[in-house]
Amino acid sequence: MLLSFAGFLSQATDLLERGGDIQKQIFFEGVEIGVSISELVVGPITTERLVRWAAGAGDFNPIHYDQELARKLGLPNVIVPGPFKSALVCRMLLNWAGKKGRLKKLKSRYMGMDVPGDTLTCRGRVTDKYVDKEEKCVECEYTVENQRGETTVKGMAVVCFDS
Amino acid sequence: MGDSLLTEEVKSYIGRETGPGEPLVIEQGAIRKFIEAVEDENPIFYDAEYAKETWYGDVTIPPLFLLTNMKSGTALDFDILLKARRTRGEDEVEILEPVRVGDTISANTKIVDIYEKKGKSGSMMFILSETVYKNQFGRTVMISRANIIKHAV
Repeated sequence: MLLSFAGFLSQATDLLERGGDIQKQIFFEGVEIGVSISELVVGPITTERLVRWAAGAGDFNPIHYDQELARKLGLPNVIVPGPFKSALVCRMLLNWAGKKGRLKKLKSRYMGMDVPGDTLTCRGRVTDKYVDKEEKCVECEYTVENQRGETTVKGMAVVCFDS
Repeated sequence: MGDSLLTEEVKSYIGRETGPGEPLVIEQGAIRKFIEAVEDENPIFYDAEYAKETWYGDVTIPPLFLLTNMKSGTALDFDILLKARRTRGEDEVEILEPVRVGDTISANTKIVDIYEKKGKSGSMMFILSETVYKNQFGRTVMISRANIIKHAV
């Protein structure tokens, strides 16, 4: 039921979505340092999406939904929340990790503003792999970039796989 | 360009702690609202049969779910600078144990540091905090670290 709702939403709002599905299961042994993580493209982001985020994340900071207040505070528009972008990165990482993976750590640095109408591309790359307390871990770095070519989020993540 | 934002009153917040805040019961409906906002169809967030075969063991929360859904016990308990525009500069989440539907989570937060930078658009204050999330068994399930920026207006 949820899948068909999400499908309806995608069609109804004509979103550009790529890479939203869980990938074929990868295994720690097969992961190579330097390999790219299947990217995720989301957008154009609507103000409706930001309202849904406010309700779903419990973040009612008005700079994310109140246009008049945002401009009064010196912003060009309402802005896309940092944690929303981090959540998209988590979606990308967990789709890549598959059923046998889990997210252990995520760090995000919010470097720029994105606004409604923007399309965001999340990209990642494996930078290290190691065993930590019997957990098989893969370390990645990632970026989120908008259609203007601006990198608005940079960060790293650790994804772990069971044996 | 104005006085420093780092008054004695502001600096007195460094090291202060808050919590445990109001506990949050993890519910499927709340998870659904979150994943609809990011259009995340990963079955670990709604399919118990699927989730049982993963590290999570049962339907689980998206990694960012607790960051802003806790009503208290967070850095926002402190009103450190009035008349300011607030944004997040950095976030970090570290997941230690699965959080599942039906769990009760409470948060404790410590203000780790506060510093100031003068930028093009005025002074900015950076508030570093660390939040520890525990479940109903007293186990630490997640730790988050935030750098929240306040722009004086």
